Amino acid sequence: MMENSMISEEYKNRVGEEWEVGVYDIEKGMIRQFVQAVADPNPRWQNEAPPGFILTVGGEQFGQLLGKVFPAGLLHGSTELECYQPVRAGDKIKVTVKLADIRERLSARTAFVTFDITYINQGGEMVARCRQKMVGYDSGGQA
Amino acid sequence: MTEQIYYEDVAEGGEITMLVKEPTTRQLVRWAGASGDYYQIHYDKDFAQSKGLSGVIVHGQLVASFLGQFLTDWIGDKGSLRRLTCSYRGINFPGEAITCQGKVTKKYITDGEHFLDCTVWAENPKGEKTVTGKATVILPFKD
Repeated sequence: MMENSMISEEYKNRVGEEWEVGVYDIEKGMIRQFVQAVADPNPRWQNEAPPGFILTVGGEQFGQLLGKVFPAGLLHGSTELECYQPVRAGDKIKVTVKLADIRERLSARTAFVTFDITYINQGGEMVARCRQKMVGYDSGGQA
Repeated sequence: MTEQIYYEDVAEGGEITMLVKEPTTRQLVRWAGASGDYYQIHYDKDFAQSKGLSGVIVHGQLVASFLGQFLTDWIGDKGSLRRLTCSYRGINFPGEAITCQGKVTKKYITDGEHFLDCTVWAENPKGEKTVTGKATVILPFKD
């Protein structure tokens, strides 16, 4: 492995760039699937989604981006979620991700990468935003 | 679910009602489907072992969602979760209890809204804090 393979060459010089992850129609079934996965029996979550739900909107596409940025391996460092209004069935949420920061620690063979994700509803209002910090490592490192 | 808690009911230093979760491997598969996080470390034992782990591990964001449930259970239908941060510091294995705990660190009123800042964490059965974070919630008040 190259010494600096924690992050793919393609993304190293793209700090500050923003991508649209997708636009998602929030359905009642998605909310139900989420609360079943968490095993949260609160009857409040029917049309209204629990706060953590938004983290899963566009999650698969964000994961695909992570796979491209970190060719070897990664760990989740932290999540910072801010919720400004509840997400409900019938909402249409546009998810955008910005590659906010990359810090490589070549001595430790790790790279700390910050992504800022915004969630905008059909009315153009920001319903939530989230900062996700990921830690990439190369195959010489261990999780 | 439970009786509504009000801003006046809470003191700085007060504890948040504990929540114990015990995710199974089946729940991790449900979470993979709901969240779109298909990283094999969460469902493929051989893959997890190739990364130096004894078996599959619980998704960090599922634990974050448990902390979300812990908070929304406590603040009730009239409360809202404004901010939740989570640092992923340790590992949770399926089949083991994850205990969500927290304390109120500060209460304050800004622009007529009644806020509580809290410190929150999830513990594994060894008593290790595997996820630590902070939360800000808004509670209703008695006038």
